[in-house]
Amino acid sequence: MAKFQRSLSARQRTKARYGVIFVLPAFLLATVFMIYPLFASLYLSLTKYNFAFDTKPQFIGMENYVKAFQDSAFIDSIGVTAVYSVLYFVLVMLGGLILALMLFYAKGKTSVFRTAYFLPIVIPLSLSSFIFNWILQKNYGLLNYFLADILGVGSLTREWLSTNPWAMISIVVVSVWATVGFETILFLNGLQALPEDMLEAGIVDGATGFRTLFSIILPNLRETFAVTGIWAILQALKVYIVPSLVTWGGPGTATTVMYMYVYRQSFTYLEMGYGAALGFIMSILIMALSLLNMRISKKV
Amino acid sequence: MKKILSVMMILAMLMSMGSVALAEEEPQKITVMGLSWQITKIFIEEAAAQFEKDHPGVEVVIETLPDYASLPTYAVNWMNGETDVDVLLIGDANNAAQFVSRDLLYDFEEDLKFFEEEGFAKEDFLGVGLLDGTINDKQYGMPIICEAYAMNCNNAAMKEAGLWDEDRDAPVMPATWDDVYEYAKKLHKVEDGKVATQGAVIQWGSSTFATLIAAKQGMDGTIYDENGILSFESENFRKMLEVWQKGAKEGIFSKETYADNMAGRNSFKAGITSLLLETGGAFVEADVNLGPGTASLSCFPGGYENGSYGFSTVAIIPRATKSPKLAAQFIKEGLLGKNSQTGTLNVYGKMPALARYFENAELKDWQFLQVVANNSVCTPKYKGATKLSTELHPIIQSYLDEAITLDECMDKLQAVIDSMEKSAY
Amino acid sequence: MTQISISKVVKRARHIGLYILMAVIAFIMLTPIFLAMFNSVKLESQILSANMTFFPRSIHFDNYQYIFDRFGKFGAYFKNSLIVTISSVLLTIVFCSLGGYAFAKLPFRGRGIMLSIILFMMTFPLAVLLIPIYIMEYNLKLLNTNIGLILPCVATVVPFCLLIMRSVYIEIPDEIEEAATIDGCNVFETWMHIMLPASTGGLSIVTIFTFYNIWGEYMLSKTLVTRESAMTISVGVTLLKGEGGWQFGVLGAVVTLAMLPPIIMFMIFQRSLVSGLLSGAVKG
Repeated sequence: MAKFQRSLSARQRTKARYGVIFVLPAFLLATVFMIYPLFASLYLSLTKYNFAFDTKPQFIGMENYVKAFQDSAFIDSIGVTAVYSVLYFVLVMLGGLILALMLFYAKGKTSVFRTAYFLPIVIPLSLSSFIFNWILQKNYGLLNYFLADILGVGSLTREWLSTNPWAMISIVVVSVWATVGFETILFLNGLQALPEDMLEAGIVDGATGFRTLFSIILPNLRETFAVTGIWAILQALKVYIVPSLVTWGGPGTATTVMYMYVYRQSFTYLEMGYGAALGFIMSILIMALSLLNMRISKKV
Repeated sequence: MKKILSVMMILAMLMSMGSVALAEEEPQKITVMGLSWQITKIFIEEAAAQFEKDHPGVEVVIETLPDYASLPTYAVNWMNGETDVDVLLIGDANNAAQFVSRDLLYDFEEDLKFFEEEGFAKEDFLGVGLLDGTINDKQYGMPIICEAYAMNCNNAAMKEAGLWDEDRDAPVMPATWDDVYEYAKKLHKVEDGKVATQGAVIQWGSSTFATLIAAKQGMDGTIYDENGILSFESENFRKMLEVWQKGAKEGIFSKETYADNMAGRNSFKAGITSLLLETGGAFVEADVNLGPGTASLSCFPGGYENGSYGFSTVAIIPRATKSPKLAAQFIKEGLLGKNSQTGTLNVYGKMPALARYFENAELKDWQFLQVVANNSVCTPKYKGATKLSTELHPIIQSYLDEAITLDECMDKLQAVIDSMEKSAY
Repeated sequence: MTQISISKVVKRARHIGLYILMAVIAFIMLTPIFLAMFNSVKLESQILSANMTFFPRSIHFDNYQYIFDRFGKFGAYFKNSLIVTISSVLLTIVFCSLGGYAFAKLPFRGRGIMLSIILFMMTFPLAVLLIPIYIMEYNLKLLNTNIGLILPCVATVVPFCLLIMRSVYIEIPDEIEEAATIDGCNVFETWMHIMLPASTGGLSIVTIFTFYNIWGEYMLSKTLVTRESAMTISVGVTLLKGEGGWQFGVLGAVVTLAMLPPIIMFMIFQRSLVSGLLSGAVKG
């Protein structure tokens, strides 16, 4: 017995040793190159440093962070991001799951559909944003042309990009279109990893299909939910390209998201110090939500 | 001892002469960098080839800049006395702030004596172009092409609506914004609930500040208050905003530029929009797309008398370059040469920086726009001027969408100006 | 007997319904892409016209001509993209499958902290780091090199790939691992012979994810590379952009061409996505 325990702990120790060795290269790849920039940014976030006019950073402590919470434009941009994120998160998670379930249940040839759902994500987002910016234009866009000239319902035509709430809806739809394929693949992989005997019952017994879905399949997708959830949160809160190229943050500031504001501080105003501080605030927000997501998907 | 001393002196003299000679002997290779459209529209490849032909042994390399967001990386290089670019084209002189404040650029006037050569005196240039390249009273940017805001008109639509000035054989010129509204109303056509012909598009996107400056300059003849500080406050300006709001609400003035600066130009080019109030070169694009004679120029209210908003693409030369003279020479012979300057005018609708090339214009609209440009103003070179391009258009858009009142709108515009650092760089 | 056949009919009908639904969704998803492709063979004057059409009225290759006329440097862009992407993909696959396995199955002290740090790396907005990264690469003389692009690119994808691989390995039951240990495999051999083959689904996701992310990477590339000889295709194509934006026809052609490599990649690897079922078989 004692011998067995010792051998177990010895194995445990071997495992731990291998664990460190296995993790280290990936961990270093992810961090080493970023450590200097991250610490440099951390320092900058404590300074006043306008790259255009200040010769060197001037230490001001936490002032940038205090300023951020009094900056109504920044707070507004967080609000916009929150609205966008909720809409996007729900749609992309649900959409991804439903598409994956459809692909999963449809026995037979599905590779065409899989490719179709995945295709949008391989187009660089900046290019697809331009395409949608054009599709949704008022006077020469495809959607209004389709509504008025093909369907004959001219009254449904809108200024999709420059009126509320259509501008927000537009960027959510474009983002979901562009990214739902990847969520689908992640979910599909999770579904396919489920033990077959567990599923057998559900697939054979078509009548209780929905019940198997909720009582067997979804609870066993926990790990997949953790990953897809984090990815969706990252995509949602770090959204930048779609609102900057599809609606240009307008009308007014209705679609000016957090990342756009941070980018503007850093690269338009060249306020490197303040921009870095905003970056850290943004990062902490996303981190908190990601951890929450991990908690929830572990418990459910 | 004396001998040694004299030998040393001679040696020192020789060495210093040698170093002078070396300084004179610049590397015979320069790199010119700009955005891809600048390289195309200024015919830089042709200019480089010609320059290499005229000066055997010289090499001109062209590199393309993806966008201006990476300009700070050039400041990092230049501060260390290194550069891989000798002539850099930038679209907005405010982008050069980071270089000027660190004294990283050559002053064309003092350092390079650029204006001393015949044909390149200051009077030979379009005034607003030079002004746009002037920072802290120094000529850090050399204008290459200029633009000015005006009213691009679709000829057929204007004639049909009776908005043709027979004497001038050109579209009528509006005296007030009410006139613009009336014109647009006549031109605007709706079929089955969908816009068939858009009355007017005003640049209300991220270049709204340009529209505001152009409009204010045209109406009031100045964009500054009595203290010489940028100000939009005036009776005319308030009236104009009300007209804008009315037109936007009725759909006569389109908001499509909110989400794309080019939206107006594209729909004008497609013949869908009849009046386009933004850069005056846009009418040429309609001619290219729909055939010569499709479009021509009128101006903003008061623009012909008082001028408009003018801006230019300027070339800068970093002090880190080892070939400043060659770089300046390339600007003179290449970028400001006849081929590039008239080509950009007649093919792409960009005004030449040198006034003499207007003589080669194929369309009379260019002489018209030259008059407008001569009185035009550019953005004030304030430290905080970047705010103009980021914070004004959301305010105007909220007013046009009736989210805020006129007074709130004016207050907010003023608040942006107040919060800007208005000192020079 | 009849009951069974009725339920069969119902089942068949449901199946056909499912396929029709999937086809409709696929059609909606593909419309914008078809539009881009159709635009690529229209003339500018056909696209920007008062009477526009979805389908091209006549086919012109002017837009492709426009691109190929400027194609001189594209060979270099393509080569750089290929080098950067493929080396990044290889690095990521090898190290993330190792690291993900360790995070999932090999408990060691500090695992939680490491995972949190990795999570933090993912959340940070890259834009804020661009100038510090530039200054660092400037000092290390890595600007305008492939390796100078590979390292930060890999750093941006590795965290998420680690999470993917971790979740994949967690789902593999411990019994399999224990069986391997009893068979006398050490940890590395267990990973190599048991775990790796059981995670092909996850590996192909990582491959696809890394490939399309780095193939389309723009922000880092345009900052760290200023010479056209070291540029990648994602930045290279933006040089075809006109003043103020894209010409729609050229954009269509660019999209059509830019889609090809990732699609080919996807076609290859989606097969092993299906064979991700294999992992289920191993479990059974």
